[in-house]
Amino acid sequence: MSVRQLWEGAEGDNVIMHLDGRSKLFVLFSIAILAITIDNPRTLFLLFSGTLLLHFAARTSIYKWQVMAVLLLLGLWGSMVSQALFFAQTPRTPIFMLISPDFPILGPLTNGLFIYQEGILYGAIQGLRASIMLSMGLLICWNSDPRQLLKALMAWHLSPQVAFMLVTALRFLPVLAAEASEVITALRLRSNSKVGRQSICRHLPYVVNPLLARCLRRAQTLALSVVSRGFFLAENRKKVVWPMKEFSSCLVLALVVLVTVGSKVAYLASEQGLYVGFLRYLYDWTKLYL
Amino acid sequence: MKIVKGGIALVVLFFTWCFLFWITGDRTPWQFFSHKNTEGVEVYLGDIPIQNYDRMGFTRGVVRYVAKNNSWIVGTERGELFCFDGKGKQVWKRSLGIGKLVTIALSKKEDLVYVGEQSPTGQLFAVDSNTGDMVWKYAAKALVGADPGSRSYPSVVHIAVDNEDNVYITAYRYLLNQDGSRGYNGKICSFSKDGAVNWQFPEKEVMDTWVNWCDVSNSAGEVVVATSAYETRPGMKYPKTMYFLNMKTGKLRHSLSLPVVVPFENTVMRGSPNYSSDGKYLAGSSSDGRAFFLNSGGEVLWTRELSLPQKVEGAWLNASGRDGFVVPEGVVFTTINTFNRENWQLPTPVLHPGNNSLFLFDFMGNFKYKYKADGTMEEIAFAKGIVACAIGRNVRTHDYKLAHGAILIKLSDGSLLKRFPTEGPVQAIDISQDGKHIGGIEAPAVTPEGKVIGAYRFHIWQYE
Repeated sequence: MSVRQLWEGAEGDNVIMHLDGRSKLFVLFSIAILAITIDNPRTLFLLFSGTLLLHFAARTSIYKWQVMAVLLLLGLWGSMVSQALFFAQTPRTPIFMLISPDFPILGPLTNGLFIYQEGILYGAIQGLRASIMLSMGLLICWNSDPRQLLKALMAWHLSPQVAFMLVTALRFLPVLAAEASEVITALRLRSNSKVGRQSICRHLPYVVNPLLARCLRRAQTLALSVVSRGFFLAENRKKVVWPMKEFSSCLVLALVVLVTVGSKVAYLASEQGLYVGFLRYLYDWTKLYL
Repeated sequence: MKIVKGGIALVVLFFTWCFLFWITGDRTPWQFFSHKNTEGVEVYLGDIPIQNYDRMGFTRGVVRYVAKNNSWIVGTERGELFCFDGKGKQVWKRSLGIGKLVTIALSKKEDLVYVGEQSPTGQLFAVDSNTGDMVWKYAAKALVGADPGSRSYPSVVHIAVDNEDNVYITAYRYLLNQDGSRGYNGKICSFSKDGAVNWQFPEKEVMDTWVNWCDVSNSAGEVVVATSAYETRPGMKYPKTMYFLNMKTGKLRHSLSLPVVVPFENTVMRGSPNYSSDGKYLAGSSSDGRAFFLNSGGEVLWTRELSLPQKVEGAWLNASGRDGFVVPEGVVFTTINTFNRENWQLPTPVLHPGNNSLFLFDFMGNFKYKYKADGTMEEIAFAKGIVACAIGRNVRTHDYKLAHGAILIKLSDGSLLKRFPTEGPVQAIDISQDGKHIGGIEAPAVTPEGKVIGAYRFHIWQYE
């Protein structure tokens, strides 16, 4: 699989691919709000597992799974390990000592280095938030034609210029990755060096100029084609109907998000003194599950 | 090779998913790493500033057991009031503002919980114990004033409730005068169950002394108020140790001055006296380490020395008396850590032999036994035949491992029935009447070595 194929939406036949662009974007925004709002570790874990299940539903290829696994692992373990070592809130319970405070030089410098129980969980929560967004982002990226997203943004009355710039930016990343790969291959062939990390590192300083030149050339072509096709002309575009099933599902999801955010706000207000007795069960539910 | 690396990434992702499932659930893996005692239930009460272990004014919390539904009402330094069921599940929680909750009492039917705070307004709250709804509140600022600019906050320091659910509070504010001298504004106030003010003592002024404690006797129709001002000043209007008031009108019936012992200037009581359940007797211990047993008429029946000040190597040492209770088995008194009278933060060459102890005397004043704990007796609570003690810090021995926790003592012979160890000092305790459920609040502390021990959490322990 080429670098470009890896990051671009592929042609395929699955449930996610057939969804309307608006539905995809709406689900993405909703999950983003939920990931930020929810603090309960088990609920966040379930949300994360749900996004992975969506990848199974979309029949994501094994190669893409491998790439996603590396990215998810980096985020999750990076967050957990760093928080476990440098957790600064209280209470914090050291469960393992890496450097004793009495250890020569390093001990007095660091006051001891410990793994904190609460830090692991705190790191897991932060890592899960990032992973949910990464997983959902890749799902939409891999299962959407950029034109679908552009139509969705236009249907929501976003200015054509802004919508176009957003989608172009989205498409530009895989193009950039492919261009960089091509430039490195060309440099490697010219210098007759072997394949490997060493040769990539050696050629990296010389990648910028040719890459910039190629990008400018592409941008010029893109600008000419946009103008020649009259993309920004203020004419009425054909309205695409949002399928009823998808629309009602999105309404249900919106309700879930509203209830979640609302109960969280009510709970936080109760902590600040705005306590209402008959909302007690909502407070309990929020504390236990959100 | 690429396939193998990708395969490894997928396997690691699967194990990471399993690990996340494990640590985000109830069955966390911490027990594999720690040797912490996990007896009972623990509930975290939120982040608070962690105090130095040797500090005099230390982290507090208040707790009361509600027998009607086997629940616990817990008040914190964060101004939050919680209700937990017997298993530690939160039933309700309400934030009462920015103050520290410093005292708590339940109405006789346990339908209302009265909570006193220290804050710029010093509120007394009456909260519905079933729902957490506010029923009424009263600002002690109206009684003793406030000067937030110089951090002189009013505080409702103690609450007592009579059989008709009238509430009696002691409100107090510490003053630092411009010439550097210290002063006090104190007042006693009675409220009906619906929050109407019955009376105030004094009616049109404030007491120029520190008032820390009060109790009510229904049979004698009397409220006793103890004062805590260590220094007396010329012209002081309320220099006596105890004032006895009519519980219906708030009029002064009589007052009592207890004799002073060297090196103290005044006899002060900070955590007592308390009436017996029939209201006929009164027990209290003073900061100079003496115990007093009185009748409701204010007549001292006998006095005993628990931990009188001693001069060692030129320094006066003492272990202050704190509690005084009359129970069917006799009269109970407690003492706290050994302190240097010159300055409470200074070290002491030896420990006072009477410190950190619980004493029992019979009603004639005969010594029955003494139970010595490893840390200070922060609070005691009684069940049938049992006394539960919150064991806090020992600022002299710095014994972090053995001292802290809660203990149950058999009242008849002073034998230790059970010990529930905790990492940090236990600052408050209560026990159910059958002695089966014990609730305690643990506080975090920074040791002189810079290590943080314990956490701000509520424990529920079961006995038998």
